[in-house]
Amino acid sequence: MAIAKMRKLSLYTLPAFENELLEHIQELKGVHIDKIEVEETVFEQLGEDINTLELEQKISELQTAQGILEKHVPQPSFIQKNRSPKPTYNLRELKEAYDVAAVNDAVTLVYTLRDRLNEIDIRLDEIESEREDITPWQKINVHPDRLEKLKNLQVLIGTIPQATDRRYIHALEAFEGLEISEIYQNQEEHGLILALPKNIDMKEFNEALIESHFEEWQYEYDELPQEKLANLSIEEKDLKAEEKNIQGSLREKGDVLEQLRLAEEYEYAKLLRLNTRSESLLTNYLFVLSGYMEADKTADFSKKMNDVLPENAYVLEVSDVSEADEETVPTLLTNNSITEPFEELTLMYGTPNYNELDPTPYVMVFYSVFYGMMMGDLGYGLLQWIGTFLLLKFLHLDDGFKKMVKMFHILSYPTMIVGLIYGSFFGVTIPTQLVNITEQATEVLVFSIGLGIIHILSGLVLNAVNQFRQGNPGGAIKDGISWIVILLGLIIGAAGTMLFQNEMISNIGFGLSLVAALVILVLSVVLSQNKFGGLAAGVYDLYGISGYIGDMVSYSRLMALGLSGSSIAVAFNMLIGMLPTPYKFTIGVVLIIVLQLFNMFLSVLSAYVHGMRLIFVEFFGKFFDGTGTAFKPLKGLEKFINISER
Amino acid sequence: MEWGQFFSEYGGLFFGALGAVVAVVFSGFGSAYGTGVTGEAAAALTKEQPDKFVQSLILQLLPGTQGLYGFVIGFLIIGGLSMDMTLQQGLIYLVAGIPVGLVGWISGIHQGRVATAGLQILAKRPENVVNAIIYAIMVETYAILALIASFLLINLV
Repeated sequence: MAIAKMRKLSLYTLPAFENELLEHIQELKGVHIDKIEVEETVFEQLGEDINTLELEQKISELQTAQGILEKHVPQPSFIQKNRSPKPTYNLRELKEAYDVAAVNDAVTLVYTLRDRLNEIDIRLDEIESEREDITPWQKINVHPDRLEKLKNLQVLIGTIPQATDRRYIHALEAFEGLEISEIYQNQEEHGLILALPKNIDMKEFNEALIESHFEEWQYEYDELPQEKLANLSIEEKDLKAEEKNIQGSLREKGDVLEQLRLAEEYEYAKLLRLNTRSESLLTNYLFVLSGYMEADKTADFSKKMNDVLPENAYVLEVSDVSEADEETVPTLLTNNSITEPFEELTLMYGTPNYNELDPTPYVMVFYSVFYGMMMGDLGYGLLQWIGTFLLLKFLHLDDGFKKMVKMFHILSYPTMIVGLIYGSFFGVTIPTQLVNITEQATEVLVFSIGLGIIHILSGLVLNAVNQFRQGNPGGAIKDGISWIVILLGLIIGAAGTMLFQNEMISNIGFGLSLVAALVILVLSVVLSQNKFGGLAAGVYDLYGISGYIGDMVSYSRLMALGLSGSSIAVAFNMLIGMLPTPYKFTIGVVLIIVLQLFNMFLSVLSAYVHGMRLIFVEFFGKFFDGTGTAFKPLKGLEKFINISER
Repeated sequence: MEWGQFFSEYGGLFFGALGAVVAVVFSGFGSAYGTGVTGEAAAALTKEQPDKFVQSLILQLLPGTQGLYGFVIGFLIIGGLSMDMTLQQGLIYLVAGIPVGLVGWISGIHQGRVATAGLQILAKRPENVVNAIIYAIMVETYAILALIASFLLINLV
């Protein structure tokens, strides 16, 4: 239950073993590679300029091809996908598991088919717009080009806008000698063929055309409009058949998709290995790797290295972490199975430093209580228990998601317990009720704030512990212990005045607070270089007392959200109860299920985020800055498969 | 019936009911606005990145709670209404509806704006979406305090 103890590894071997060694480390998933700083003049570092661009390009091609296939190949549902665990390969098996040439061909083919589909799409759009353009003119049974070539007549084909008073068409009709024949008219325009003798005054005619907003129709095909339409239909039909064909063949490529995924896994693992070159040292004669590993796994690791590398070909040095290294040591949280899922909450805020305390166990305890109080319903707790239980029992979920589901599974217990205490089962009062949150809201409020004070005090205790561990006792007293004494003193003082009406108790309490406040001021001055600045900082520190009041009030949400959730459940039950009997037992049943699930969803969401806020702001704010480096072992992508040891 | 007579007979009921109206209506305004603006922005985001639907839905729902708090207070007030209430009781209910109504209104609007801005975090750095959620629920604290104040006022009747 803490932060895993690390040891430092240094591995020296021949350049020839680089890849094999890294593959093993990747399969073990236990080594966090640390950058080796060397002076460039001493060694000629190889591989600095290694070009990973080509590999990255290849991976991105594989991903694009997968994306194309995923659109067509029927994808399994969430449940189907997680019914069985991901397949397991070691890197050697993975390399054998797919055919490189076939994958390359498949990528090319998928790209070609996609391009063809795009072309078809574009052409289909064109056909549609050509058809829209031609359809109104289909009555013309002479090719427009032939009309234009007439010897004695000037023929124009085009449109003029529609107008209620027909003013545009009148403008043309007024023109003497002009023959107008209307091919079509619709809401926007008239389609006209205009014919007039060639010897007429063109200037005047052009003015008439402009006045009537005449727009000439361009027809650029050899066939007659009607024939062209028929041809377009044939072309469209062919294209649609081809499209369907291609889509059908893409749909069948489920096994190709699998191959592409394996290829991506393999190439990605390779990329990650190459990327370590910027951290390690590689010369013509030597390959050096440095990293961190969990202390209790090093023995096993050195044994395995012995199996992999020839005995005289390497040196493995395992050393304890020195204080100078503490800044760079990565942090890995290790907790028991109940606390472990809550690590995600801690890590959402930040990673603890290697020499800090792991706050996760405290997060687990407080967050569970908070969540339970904000949900506070036996029925919702049971549903949550069943739902998460089924997910965990029957599906093989990804690690991150599984941890989250497991956390909600654990949280269902406090929800049920508080539900029993509040005596609420989907808003219906049950006889286990010890506290009626509606009528005893004030008591619950006081309890919530009391819990908050305990939470804040624990935060301050952890602050003191952390600073002691980091060799900073002055800070521990100033930021941790003094504040604990101030707060406790104030509470004793207030209790003395209000509860016991005893002046002596209250004087002792307030006196303690005052002493602790003075300690803060004195330490601020003593611990800082600039004495006056230190004093100012100390005074500012004390001003922080107003923040503590805000923090305590913040915990009132534990009562408020519990109350609001249960009131809404009661209100929903009452609404459905008011329905006349025939509706109550038909549509009423459906409605109450939907409404209760809705309220449960909102309660879960509120309890989840507000619980997190109390942890992050009121608790972590007191002691935790989360600036550590997370332990990130060298491993594979593991999106589609699990990588195992060989 | 004269106005004076009406108020002396039913004033309690009238003002009590008005209290429920204030609580439900104004906090509803705030939540409707808040979920509205965030919903618009969430739709724009989901258009480009459909896999972020669930997370954007959570952000959209955050400013929705003010309306629920108002509803809770309204519900509790309505449960306490009766024909023979005194004018004084009715007025306390009216006053009780005001904190959750007005704070819910304003905080709903502002929480909606914070949640909308938070969608930017979801769009660019989805791993930090929790930060956006925390920012948004900072605003909600005041709606919760108002809910508690309203609730304690109801208990005075």
